[in-house]
Amino acid sequence: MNEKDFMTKIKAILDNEDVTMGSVLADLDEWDSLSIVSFVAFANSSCGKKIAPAQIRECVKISDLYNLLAQ
Amino acid sequence: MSRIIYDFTGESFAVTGASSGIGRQTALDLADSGACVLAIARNTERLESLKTESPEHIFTASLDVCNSDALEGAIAAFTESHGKLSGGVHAAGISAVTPLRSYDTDTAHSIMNTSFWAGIEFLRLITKAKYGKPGTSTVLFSSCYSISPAKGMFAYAAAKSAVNTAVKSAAKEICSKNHRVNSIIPGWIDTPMTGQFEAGNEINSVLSRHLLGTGKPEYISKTVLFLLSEASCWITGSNIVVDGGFSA
Repeated sequence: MNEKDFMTKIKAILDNEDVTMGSVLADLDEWDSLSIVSFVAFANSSCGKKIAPAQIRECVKISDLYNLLAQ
Repeated sequence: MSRIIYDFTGESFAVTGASSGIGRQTALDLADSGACVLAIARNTERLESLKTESPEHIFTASLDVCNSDALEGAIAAFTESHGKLSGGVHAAGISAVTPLRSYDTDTAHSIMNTSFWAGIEFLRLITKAKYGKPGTSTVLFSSCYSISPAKGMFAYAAAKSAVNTAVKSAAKEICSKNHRVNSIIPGWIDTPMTGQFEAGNEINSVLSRHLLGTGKPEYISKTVLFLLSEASCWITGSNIVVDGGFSA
C-alpha cells in the first residue's frame, strides 16, 4: 500500500483530516481504543497483516503504523 | 398552556423521511424555528410541496436513504453551502406485515435497511468532522412495536429494537466530541405510513391501548426539537417513549 492510500484510510479511521505521517499518536484524541481496533481490522483486511497490540503500543507516530504494514 | 419556542437560527439540520408524516412535520417545525433544513426523501413531488411551505429554510434532496453514496453526496453539498450540521433526524422508514407463513426476504430486509442500516449510516455522516459541528444531536426513530409488537410485525419491530440498542452503543462512541444520539419510541401516529393498516380488528385493539388517543405528527416533532436543542444537553443513549400511554 502506498503512503497516499494509507493516509486516506488513517484520516478516515481517525476522522481527522489534519493528521500527517509525523503526527504523534499520543497527541491525538481520536487515537482511542476504537481507532486501534479499526486500524487492526484495516491491516488485516487490506494488507493481510495480523498486528498484535504490543506492536501498536510501540508506535509513536503515524509513520510507525505505516511501517508496521510495510514490514 | 404556555407555548414553547425553540430558536435554531443559524443552525442546519438534515431530516430523512421528510416528505410525509413525522419527518415532514419535523422539517416544518425546524424551519419555523429558524433552522436551515436539508429535507431528504424519495418522493420529489411531495418534497417540492414541502419546500413551498418555507422556501427560504427548506432545501430538498430526492434520494433513497439506502443509497449511502447518494446520501453522503446530498449532505456534502448541503454543508458546503449552509455550513456544518448541528444534528439530524432519521424519520425514514417503511412498514409492512411480514407473517412467517408468507415471509418475503426482500420486504423484511428492506424494512431493516431503511429503518436501521440507513439510520446508522446517517448517524455516521452527521458525526463526521467533515459534516457535523462538535456536539451534534441526532434522533433515530424507533416504534412502540419495539416494546410490544403486533402479530406478523417481527421484521418491523426487530428493526426498531435494533435502533434502540444501537443508540446506546453509538452514544458511548461519539460522546468524546460531545455528540449525542437518542431514539424516540412513538405510539400510533396518524400518518400515510400507518394509514395502510387502518382496516381490521388487530389495529383497533392497538389503538384502544393509547390512553390519550391516537397521536399526531406534531406530538412527536415537539419531542424531536427538544432532543435537538440544548435543553436536552444531558440526554444521550436514551430511548424516549412518546406514545400516549400505549406502554403503560
